[in-house]
Amino acid sequence: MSREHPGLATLRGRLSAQHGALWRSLDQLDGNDAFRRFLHTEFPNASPGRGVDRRAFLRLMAASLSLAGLAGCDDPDDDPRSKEIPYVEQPREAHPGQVMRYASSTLIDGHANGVTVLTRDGRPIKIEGAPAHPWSRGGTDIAGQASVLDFWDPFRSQAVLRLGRPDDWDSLRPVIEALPRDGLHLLTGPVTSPSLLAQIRGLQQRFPGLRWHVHAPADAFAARTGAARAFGQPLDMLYDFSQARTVVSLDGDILDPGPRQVGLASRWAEARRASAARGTLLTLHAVAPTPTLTSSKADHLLVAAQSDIERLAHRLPDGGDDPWQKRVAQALANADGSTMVVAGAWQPVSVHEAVHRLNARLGNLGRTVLPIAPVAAQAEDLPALVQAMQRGQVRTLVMLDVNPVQDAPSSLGFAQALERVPMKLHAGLYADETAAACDWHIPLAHPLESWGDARAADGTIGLIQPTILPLYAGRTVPEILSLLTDAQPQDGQTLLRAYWRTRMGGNFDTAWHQALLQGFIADSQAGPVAVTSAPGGGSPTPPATPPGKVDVLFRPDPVLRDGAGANNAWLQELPKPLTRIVWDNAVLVSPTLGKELGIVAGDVLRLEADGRAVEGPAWIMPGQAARSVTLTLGYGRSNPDMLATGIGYDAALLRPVANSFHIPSASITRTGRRHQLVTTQDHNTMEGHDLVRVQQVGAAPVGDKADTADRLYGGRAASGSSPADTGTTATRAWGMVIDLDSCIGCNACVVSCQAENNIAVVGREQVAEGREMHWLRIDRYYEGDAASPATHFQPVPCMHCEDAPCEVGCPVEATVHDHEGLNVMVYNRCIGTRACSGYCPYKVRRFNYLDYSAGAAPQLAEQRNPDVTVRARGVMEKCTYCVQRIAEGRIDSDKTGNPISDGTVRTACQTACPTQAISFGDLADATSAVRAKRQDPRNYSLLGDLGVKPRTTYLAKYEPAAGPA
Amino acid sequence: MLSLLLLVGASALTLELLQHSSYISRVGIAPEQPVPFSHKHHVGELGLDCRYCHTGVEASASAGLPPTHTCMTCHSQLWTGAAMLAPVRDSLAHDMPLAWVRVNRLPDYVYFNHSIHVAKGVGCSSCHGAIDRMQLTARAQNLSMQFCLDCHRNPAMRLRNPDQVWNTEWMPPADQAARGKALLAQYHIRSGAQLSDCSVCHR
Repeated sequence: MSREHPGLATLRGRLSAQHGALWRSLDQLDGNDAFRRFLHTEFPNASPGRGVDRRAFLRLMAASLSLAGLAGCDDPDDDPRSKEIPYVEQPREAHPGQVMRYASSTLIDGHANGVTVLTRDGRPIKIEGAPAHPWSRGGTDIAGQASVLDFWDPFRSQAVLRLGRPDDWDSLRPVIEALPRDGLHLLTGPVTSPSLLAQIRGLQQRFPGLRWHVHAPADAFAARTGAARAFGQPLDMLYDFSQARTVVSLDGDILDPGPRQVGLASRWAEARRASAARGTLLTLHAVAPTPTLTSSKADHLLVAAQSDIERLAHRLPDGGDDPWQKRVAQALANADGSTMVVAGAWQPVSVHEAVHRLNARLGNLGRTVLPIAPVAAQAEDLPALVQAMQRGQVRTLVMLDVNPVQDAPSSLGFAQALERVPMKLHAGLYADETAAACDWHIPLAHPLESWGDARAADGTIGLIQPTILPLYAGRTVPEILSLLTDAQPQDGQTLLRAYWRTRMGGNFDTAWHQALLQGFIADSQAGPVAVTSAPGGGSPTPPATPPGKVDVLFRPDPVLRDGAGANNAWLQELPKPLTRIVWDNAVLVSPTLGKELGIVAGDVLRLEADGRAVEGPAWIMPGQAARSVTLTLGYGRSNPDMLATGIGYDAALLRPVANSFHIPSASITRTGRRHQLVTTQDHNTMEGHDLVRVQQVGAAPVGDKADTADRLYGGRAASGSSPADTGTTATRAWGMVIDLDSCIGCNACVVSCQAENNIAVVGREQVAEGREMHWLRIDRYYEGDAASPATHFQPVPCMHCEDAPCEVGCPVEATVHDHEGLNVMVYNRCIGTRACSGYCPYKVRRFNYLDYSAGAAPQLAEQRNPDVTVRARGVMEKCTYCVQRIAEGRIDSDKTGNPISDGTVRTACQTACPTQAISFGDLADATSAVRAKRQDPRNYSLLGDLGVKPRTTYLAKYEPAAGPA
Repeated sequence: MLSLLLLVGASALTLELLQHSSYISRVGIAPEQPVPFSHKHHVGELGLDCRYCHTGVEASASAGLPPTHTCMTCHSQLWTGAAMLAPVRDSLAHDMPLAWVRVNRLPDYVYFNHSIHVAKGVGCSSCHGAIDRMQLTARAQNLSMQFCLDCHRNPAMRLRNPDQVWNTEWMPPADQAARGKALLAQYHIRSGAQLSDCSVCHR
């Protein structure tokens, strides 16, 4: 810094003064030295000052050269990769080298999302959306996208274990047959599968004393219980955003990860686009004690304490005195059924009850809020099981696909009570903490290798079909139950077909084939339920947080949820939507509390309440309610030999049993220790202005002017023409438009890109050096005051600039343009100067500092997309617009002679998006969807004044018209 | 100084020659296979069509190798006891696939697609040589980037009529330049510049 030209420093100062109100991190807001150093380093991710002297260099070179010589002596014919192995008998449906698609479902908390599984040569390699599915409508979530890596996870349980030692199915059979008939308890996750439910009912008939419990750490079923109080019957609520003017979210979760995210986000975005086109924006008013994806998309945000939300839920539609409450009261004033009030799964039953009553009073039921019978089956809860265990009533406990030893609140004493059970069986994808406490552990089959069914959040019955034979000795939950009930245990397919044979009308084989083909049973959505309000509904006084104490909120981790995805490296390395932290969880502390107690990010805090305590590193969270901290679930795994072992703190240590998402009073202290949290929030910072534009509805357009075909790449085709250039085919111009209003920051695109493009996981230490490899990142910007900032999400892939600066920088032409306007990266030419990255104003280029893909477990290599090069060390890489998919479309079109029709070539990020925020296609095609989006008045180029003519452009985010909403 | 230059020049020349020698390119070298399969016999003498065994060639990136079953359609009747065919019979009997040694192999960062080449009038023998005269199968071309680009930059000289694609004895006729130009239009083949885009082969 000291050598810097003073004039340059002044200029930079002026530039940063122009930044406007957007900021990425509190460090940036402060403008402190650490941030500025990072921003102004040309290669922040290069190793600092670990110089190699001449002698060491020569020594290393000598070793490499001698090894290179030896490598040259290999007989290439002995290389196993040089073998070609055909089938003995090729199945008629097998097409080596071609993609095969299976309609199936991915599961989240036992609920289905319809998906298409892509397999290559018999290996499932990618999850895509299923556009025909009535609930998920082509969208996916991060859990679904990442499930293909779970399938190949080498850490998965692979054998039957008896007291932790490998055993076999043959010795398990007699044990199961000899299980005592009384004192049998079954513990499962949420069950939506009709066939599994029938099997459990059958089991209850066979063992009349059987008690069935459901354990779901991320959902306390408060909405359903609230409905039981408000309407006299348990209900799930669906939302019809198209009928609504206003959404009022009382710490709602309509856009947050969970079983309802894909379907609700899709419908919300669709309704919002339609409403903006009508000129009246579907406004989202949100109050939240801790930021969520839903509150991040709020047009009007209020940060309030949990107790305030509970009070507010009972007071609405009458507002209070702050502007937010006044505005909400006004919006709800004419109860014409065009509003909706929503509350999140983590809110207590009393709030849900109040919200249900409020929706009834506002005339929303049956119009915007649609009650349906609960999708997940009802059973006893976990505390009832623990009580029975403590009383010694449980003789045998069968636990299927749950891990309560780890994820139940430790105050419940599950692990201790479990010791009193004489016979404990556990089935799971992993030999986890619960497996270690059991007599027997059974490896569970992954959905990608299973037959099954499950319902989506709207009741649609999705089918799960195997895409590969079971990798290990795993069995499915229905197969395990069949071991318990049937004299002749059945396989999953037989069980499933037998169940549906009696329930599908007409010719079963035809109907079944059709259902499998589309992946769901048509018209199986849950019908609306007519409801009447039950009496009651007092307003309880929520306990206030005493002075000197803090409010503790518990939330599912935004990426790992309750820990189900903890062993997935893609998820561990996925920056959390708001904190951008990877490989860790943090104690989220409000800026006010941080200042008051002198807490800075990374200080290890100790939280104590009711004699329990947990310690974790602090993160100062903009938008967190003043006297509150948030703990996230899913971390602090203790089981050895897992990827997730030893990462983060375990929030279950402090979590209460009743009202399990909130402790109103806890003490907070600094331990004096530090823990480095790794966050990507300042990585790849762009210098410029107008990064995120906001379009007020009805106001003058904020987009760029005249941004149409005349600015498309085209000049170079002529200059590069060869004598044989006959130019018989019209040139395409690929481009992408990303709608910032629809983007909810869910990260599904990022994981989808990682799966499609063989993007390496680099690990915590490498991310700390700024070396994460994601080709597509989602920048999260804050605007305004740190106490209650507005949040913006901006996905940033390669812009495929028409005048790409990176191409000028490369000394070996390893990055050049092709005739369809792609900025292509030629790995085999790249010599790793990184000049292109230095030249890139968008910071979308990623360099392989180490050989990240080498040494992966052989199973993990099976997941890789054979159409995409696995990059080696020393090579630059970046988003290719999924060039392999473009090539496939081009070859198909060339073979048939038909032009590539709009929507045939879809990028991985586009197919993953639940809100259809990403459009991709041929800009030269006047009828393409992407061309229409590019002509939207909201369309603008990121850093457009650099004149690099990006092919990827953005649509400005909407904001409601001024005045009352 | 002169001797040093000569030395450097000589080593450069040696390296260059080595680079293009069959030791490196493996042109004309037939690796040992589990069964000494003869294309000369099956194609040249019996007249089997390429697609009888390489079924994926018109639909897929890879032409594919025949499953053991394809061999046994004939060899369950013919040469049933031949010692030479024991590995094929064993493969069927034990349900263990044959493991052939690859003859033509491209680097991992090259994505060649058979189906589009045969659809656009590039015949098998343009890359695989006179396969109908090969007793044992060997690589006919060095398959270097130069080899691919020679054709991609100027495809006209290799284009055939659709009915000639599978003809392993095809030779360019005297008026190939004119025919090729007509075929370029007939097949709607993009310009040489477009066909030499990096993204055509590298992903």
